[in-house]
Amino acid sequence: METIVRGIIVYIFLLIIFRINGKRALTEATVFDFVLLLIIAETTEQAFLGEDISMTGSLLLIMTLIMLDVIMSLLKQKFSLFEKVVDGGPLILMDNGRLLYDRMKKERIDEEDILETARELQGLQRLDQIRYAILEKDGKITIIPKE
Amino acid sequence: MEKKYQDLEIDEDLELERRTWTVQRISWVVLLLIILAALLGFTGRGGLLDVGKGVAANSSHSVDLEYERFLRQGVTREIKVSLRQETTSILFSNGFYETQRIEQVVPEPQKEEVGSEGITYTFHGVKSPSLIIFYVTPLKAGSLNYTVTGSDKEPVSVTQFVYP
Repeated sequence: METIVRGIIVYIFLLIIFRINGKRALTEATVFDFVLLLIIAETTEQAFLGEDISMTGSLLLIMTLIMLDVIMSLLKQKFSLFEKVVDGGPLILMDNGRLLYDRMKKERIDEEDILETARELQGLQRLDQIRYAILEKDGKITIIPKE
Repeated sequence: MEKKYQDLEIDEDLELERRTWTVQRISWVVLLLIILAALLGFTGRGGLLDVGKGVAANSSHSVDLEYERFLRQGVTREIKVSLRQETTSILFSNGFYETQRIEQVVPEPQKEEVGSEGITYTFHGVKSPSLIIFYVTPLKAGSLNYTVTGSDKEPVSVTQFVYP
């Protein structure tokens, strides 16, 4: 029983903690973001299983996590508000070539982040070539260039 | 998808984003407070201010206890018992061993007995005052209550909290 309770608690905790961090939490924007992800994964393992090294424990935990994921996706499908609260939504950062600084500040994104994505995805060189920049709910920035 | 933003078909909910930002910032403060509390010692395993350090004694001071108020499940910590007078046996009530695993007792007792009242440790040849250290691992989260009694039958009660 303990394994299942641990699984549920850690699942919900992680869900909340990454939502608190913000959209850009684990987008692996820098090398250190990746290192942080590894450290968190390692630390989480302890909380999940504790001293239990049995196979039953591991299998139960995997089953619990998969079921939680299924339940979450069903809830999200049924209640759109729930989906929005849990996942957040897209946010426009650049509107018709105009940067929306207040939103960028709240999401801790600067021009350089937008330019980086513009180079990476569209091969753009300058901000004025961008029409829309959108922060998607998974934390990635998407770029729509001017025609 | 019915929401549109100029020619961009996007389901942007600015009101929700604003609320999220507020909740996020409040949560950051809460997280910071939790970390500060942990640094001060409110979550066990030591702290800057010794807030987790507990001491207890009976009125005659024949039994003096030094323990930690906050423990963590599965983490071994120590309880120090100072005995004065000619006390050579200590009785821990049932609560002590029911949800804890006693890893080690230093110095090693000559006799350990489990009775209806609890567990009794008898030490021979200890000089007064003597220090006895118990290394114990809590196995269950929640509040932990027990009493410690020396030879003069005057109990000292201890309350600890075990974090999961």
